[in-house]
Amino acid sequence: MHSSQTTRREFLRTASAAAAAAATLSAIRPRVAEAAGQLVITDPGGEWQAAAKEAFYMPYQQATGTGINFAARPSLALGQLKAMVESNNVQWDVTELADYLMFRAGKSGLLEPIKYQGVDTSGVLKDAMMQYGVGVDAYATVMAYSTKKWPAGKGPKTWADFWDVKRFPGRRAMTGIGYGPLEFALLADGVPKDKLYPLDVKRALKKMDEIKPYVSIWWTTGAQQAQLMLDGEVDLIQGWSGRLYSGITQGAPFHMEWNQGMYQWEGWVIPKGAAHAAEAQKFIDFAMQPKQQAIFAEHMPYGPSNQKAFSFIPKERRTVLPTYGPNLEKLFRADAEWLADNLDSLTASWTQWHAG
Amino acid sequence: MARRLTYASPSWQQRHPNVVWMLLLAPFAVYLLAFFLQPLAVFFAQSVGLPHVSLHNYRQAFGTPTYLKIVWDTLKLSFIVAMGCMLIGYPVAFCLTQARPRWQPLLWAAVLLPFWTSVLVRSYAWIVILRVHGVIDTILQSLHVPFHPRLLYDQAGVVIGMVHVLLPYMVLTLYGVMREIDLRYVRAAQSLGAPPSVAFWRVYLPLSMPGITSGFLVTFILAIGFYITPALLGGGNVQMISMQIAQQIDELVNWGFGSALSVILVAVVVIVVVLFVRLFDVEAFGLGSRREKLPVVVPPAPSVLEAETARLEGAASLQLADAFVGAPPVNARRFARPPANWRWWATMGITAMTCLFLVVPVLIVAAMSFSATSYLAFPPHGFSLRWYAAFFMGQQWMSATSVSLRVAALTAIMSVILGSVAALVFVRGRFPGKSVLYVVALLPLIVPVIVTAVAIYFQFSRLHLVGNVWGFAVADTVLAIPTVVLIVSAALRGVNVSLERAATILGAHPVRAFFAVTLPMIAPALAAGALFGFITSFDESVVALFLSSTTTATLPKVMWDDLRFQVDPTISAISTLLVGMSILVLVVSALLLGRNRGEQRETAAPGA
Repeated sequence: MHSSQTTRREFLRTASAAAAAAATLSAIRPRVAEAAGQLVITDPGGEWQAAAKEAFYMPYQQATGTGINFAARPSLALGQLKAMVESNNVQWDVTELADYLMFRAGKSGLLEPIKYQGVDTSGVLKDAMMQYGVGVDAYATVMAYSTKKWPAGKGPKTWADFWDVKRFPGRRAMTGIGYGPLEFALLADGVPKDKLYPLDVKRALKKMDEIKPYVSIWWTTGAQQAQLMLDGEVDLIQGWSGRLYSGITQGAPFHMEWNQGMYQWEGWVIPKGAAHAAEAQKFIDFAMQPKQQAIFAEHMPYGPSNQKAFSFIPKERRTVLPTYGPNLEKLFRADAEWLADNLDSLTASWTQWHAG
Repeated sequence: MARRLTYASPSWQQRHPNVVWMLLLAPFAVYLLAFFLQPLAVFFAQSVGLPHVSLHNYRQAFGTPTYLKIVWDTLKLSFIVAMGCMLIGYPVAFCLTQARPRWQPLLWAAVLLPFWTSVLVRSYAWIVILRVHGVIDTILQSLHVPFHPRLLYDQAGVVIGMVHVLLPYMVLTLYGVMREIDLRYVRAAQSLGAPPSVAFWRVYLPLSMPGITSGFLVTFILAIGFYITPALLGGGNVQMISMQIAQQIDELVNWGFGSALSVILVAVVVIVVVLFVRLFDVEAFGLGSRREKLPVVVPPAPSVLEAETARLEGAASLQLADAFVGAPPVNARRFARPPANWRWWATMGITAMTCLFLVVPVLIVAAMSFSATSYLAFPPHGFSLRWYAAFFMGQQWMSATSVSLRVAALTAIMSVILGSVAALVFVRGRFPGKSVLYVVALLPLIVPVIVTAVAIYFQFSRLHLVGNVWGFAVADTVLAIPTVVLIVSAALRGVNVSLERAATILGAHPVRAFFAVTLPMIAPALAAGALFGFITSFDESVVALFLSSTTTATLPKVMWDDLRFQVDPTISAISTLLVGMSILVLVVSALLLGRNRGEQRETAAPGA
């Protein structure tokens, strides 16, 4: 925030403040903008931010004395990132992205590579350490079913079961965003989970045709998933473990099935040309420590990338985290790099199928 | 003739009127060029320039049936929305022309309250009403209705939400035409033996046709560019082209293709406007008509839609002022005594239902803001002010409110200065290319906001105007300018030029005459323009999504984040505060304009 690049911005801000004073319509002074900050970190906001504040931002500030200026990142992450980098006006030092977007952004030249020296990575899952980003927590896409309809353990266990509308009749909800639930369609069609990539899109969409009439809702946001369960809108849902769990803790009578679930990382990246890239790297190292990740996992039901974190996590909490051993072995990893490389055609195919 | 022209010594200005007008217009033209046209051009250029110079992006767009289908779906949905607005808006507009003075304020409040209410707030209200265990579902259940229509996250919900947003535009446009209809024609038809239905279909309806076509066009075009409402209420089951553009820009970092889709969207809108003007002979956006209108139908206004858009944008408050002041009933414009038959009751019924449709969402949100529970429930459980406390104690909310207030104030000032001068030039000036410039001035209304947002965003990032109060204000000014131009030019046309001329004959310099005579007369329009600039900016949520930064975000942007991540009653508390503010602004503007309308009527009546 104090580099010479920002002089113009500072000037404009001062000028705008002066003009606003002249306009005499602002009774309230801005507080966030003036907050002391060395590092600018953006994240998805909401509960995620509240957890990150406890687990990473405050402890880092206390440990190093470096101020952190954090805020919710716009939902339009990559567009803004690109405009920042290309206009030489990078305002973020660290931001949070899903793994396939890390590859997407990294390969578009929008990110600094991550350095894995100077930090103990012995407990960190290897696939969380990517070229342009560090997985800080894993989220899983799994299925959940209404226990009113089937007792826990008696519901669908595989995606073939989920597709089986005769054995498991009921209203279904699936993801309607991105490239849809193509991996699960292939699993339902009998493709083994280590042979999924490269995705056979044609085969997947053909399998999607079978289930399309039975999907009553294609959800588009995280909040929507829990709401659908709470409102009893559906009997089976394919969704994000954290959101499904949140629905269950709020009282939705659902059981979550980890088997054949897919996990993906989300975590830190450093935008290309960030003003405090070195400091940003230090923050990322700090956030990989087991203790910090354990605090985060206590607030958010997402899986820590550092397996050593589990020694700080109570036993009953572990069972809801995707990277907890017994859960992790039931899951498969989405091939983030392949997805990033093929995202355009995947999205186009999905949009075409979904709109058709 | 010669004598009259020599009332002041011939000056340089008089010898070169074109130059003077063009100089006056220069700041406005430069502004639009720098902050709207140029960014738009740069953005559109990417459609052929990325990833390499080719027509690749267009081949992709036209080569896969998906995108054309989505464009087609967008047009279909917009058509349904515009039809819906027309069908329920027509009786309401008719009632507005016929209602007794004491009913008028209530009717106007019903029509205008949502008009001044944030689009985000309204989408939120519809989520509350339409979702399972929402208001409608609860009512149906308590009535033991066995079936539960799916409304939210489907086309039905999107249509309902969009009609709610666009209905006031339709009503105001129709009203503008209907109030000028001379009912003596209807009476004449009836006295010649026509039954009421024939009199309506053969006389009244054709006379109100300009309102129908213009209202349809305005709502249709605005619907095509919708982004927020379908994204929130459609839940992925409704695809509109603007959402595809956002995805290309933001998730896929595919700016070339996003730009190509934007060009296609703008082209579609332009084609629609041109086709519509050709087919229905609408004087849309000042583009002109091919055929002369029946002189009795519409008073010879320079441009019908111009005036209409002015009415629907600015004169919204003028009409309300009429209502508040209690305009004298004009015999020719109102039936002497309401024909109390089933037709009359049906019209009244539809109008009452529509008013409920318009107002109830706003009331429900207000009720839920006092809920004691931390989740959405209707009817609300308990009473508490905790969500108001959450707003006033929330640093993020307070900061965003502060930013929004400052941005809105700056926008109001800048748009009223730039827009008024431009309006003056457009009304008084005579120079080549004026009509083209006029259309350009209104372009920000025609270009879908999502396209403007993306174009401006790319440009502003280079200028370091992202996450900056000035950045928001500059962009919002672009969006507010057409409204100000329409309001002020409408007011300027209403001003009797001979008064100003009288001042000059009496020796005042033309500039002084303008400031001393005309300016006070159009001051209320300037105030209305400023208020509209303020509200346009304060409610702007599409450009704000792009231009916000970590430290500087506007209120609608923070609300949008909140709606996407979690839905708790804080947002209903904010909504209620915003509605309260809207009512305040509405009353203040009505009082401001009301006072002047009275004065204007006194001064203008003898001359006219």
